[in-house]
Amino acid sequence: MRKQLIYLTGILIIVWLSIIFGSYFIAAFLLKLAFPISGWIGTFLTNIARTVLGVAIAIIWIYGWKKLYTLYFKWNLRKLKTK
Amino acid sequence: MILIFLFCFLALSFILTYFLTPFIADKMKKLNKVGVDIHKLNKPLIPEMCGLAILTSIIISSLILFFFNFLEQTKLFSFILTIAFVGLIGIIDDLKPLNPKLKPALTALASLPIILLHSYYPYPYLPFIGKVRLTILYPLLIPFGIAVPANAVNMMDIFNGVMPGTCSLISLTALIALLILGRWNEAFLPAILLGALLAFYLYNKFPAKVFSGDVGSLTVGAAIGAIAILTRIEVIMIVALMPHIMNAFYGLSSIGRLYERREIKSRPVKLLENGKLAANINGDAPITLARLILIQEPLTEKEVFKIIMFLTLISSILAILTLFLTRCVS
Repeated sequence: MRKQLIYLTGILIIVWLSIIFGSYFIAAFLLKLAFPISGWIGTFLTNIARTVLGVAIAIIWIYGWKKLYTLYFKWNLRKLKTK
Repeated sequence: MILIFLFCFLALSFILTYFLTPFIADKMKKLNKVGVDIHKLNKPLIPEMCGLAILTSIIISSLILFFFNFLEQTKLFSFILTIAFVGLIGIIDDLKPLNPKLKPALTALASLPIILLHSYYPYPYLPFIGKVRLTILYPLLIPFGIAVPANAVNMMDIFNGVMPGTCSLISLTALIALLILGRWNEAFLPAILLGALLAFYLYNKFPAKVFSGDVGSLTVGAAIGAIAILTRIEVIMIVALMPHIMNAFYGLSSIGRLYERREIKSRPVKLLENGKLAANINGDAPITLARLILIQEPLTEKEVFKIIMFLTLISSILAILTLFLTRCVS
């Protein structure tokens, strides 16, 4: 029972840390991102770039999360089948 | 003074649920509305839909709260309407199982009172960033804010005591967060939910004497979502709900579509002859949190409950940490 607690708590903390670091990344880089063009075109391009990067971060985060639990599951399944 | 009132409302919803649950359980038995406890060797028949007690006591306690001017009336009104709407969806689902796509859509619709009464504040607080202006996006996200927790809690209601146990911890986290933030008036909502859940836990704990049914789990999930939106602790509640969201996400992403528990032929967990639970190694079964827990070794239902409670406790602690990370910039 202790093993499950350690591994699953680990996954939980990794997911939480990714939320926190994701927020930090958005605050430190994404919100400061700006196209060096003045006028409405610059604003438009900046917003497009921020949105695309934001969506990309979200997709990478979801993919990473899925990969993490699939790896854990498959690793344990292999161990179970060899027993 | 307000702390005393807070405790009184917690006690009120506790007492209401405590006395209503056995009454509803008796009625359900007479109506033959019972479900099989599939994780027990003797397969006992347990009265279903007893979560009606939670729904009723939350609504009664909130209506009584109307007479005291602790909370904005529109907020309280939209909370009651949302809970009642989701509760009704739960009742319908318990009587005639809804389509797996229709149920989340209807629970999303239940957020309409919050949107129409404009009882939200479109400036959520994010860690490191602080207050973010989302005037256009925020109302579009509110339906997800109700549908996701409602269905995530519903999907987690699989073992005795898990739903009221984990959701009590989450309500307590919301209560502590609001007390830390000094928003004591808004703390009435999680206090009412906490009282109802603690009383229901006494009947639903292992070995369960009652089942909450969809009416109970959907209502509790929607109440958590509504509290997060109305009291502006969205990110804190997302973190506290992580085990539930993980469970729903694992299941949905491994199946690849929205599904209803009843339609799954290959169940993620199986009962062994010694009464322990084991993960199903069949590839068709969805990867749920319970299956992830049991993939290491077979465990008793009580042990699985303890692991899920521990994970929720960790996520609740992380939620409070997130609150401080959010607060340091606001």
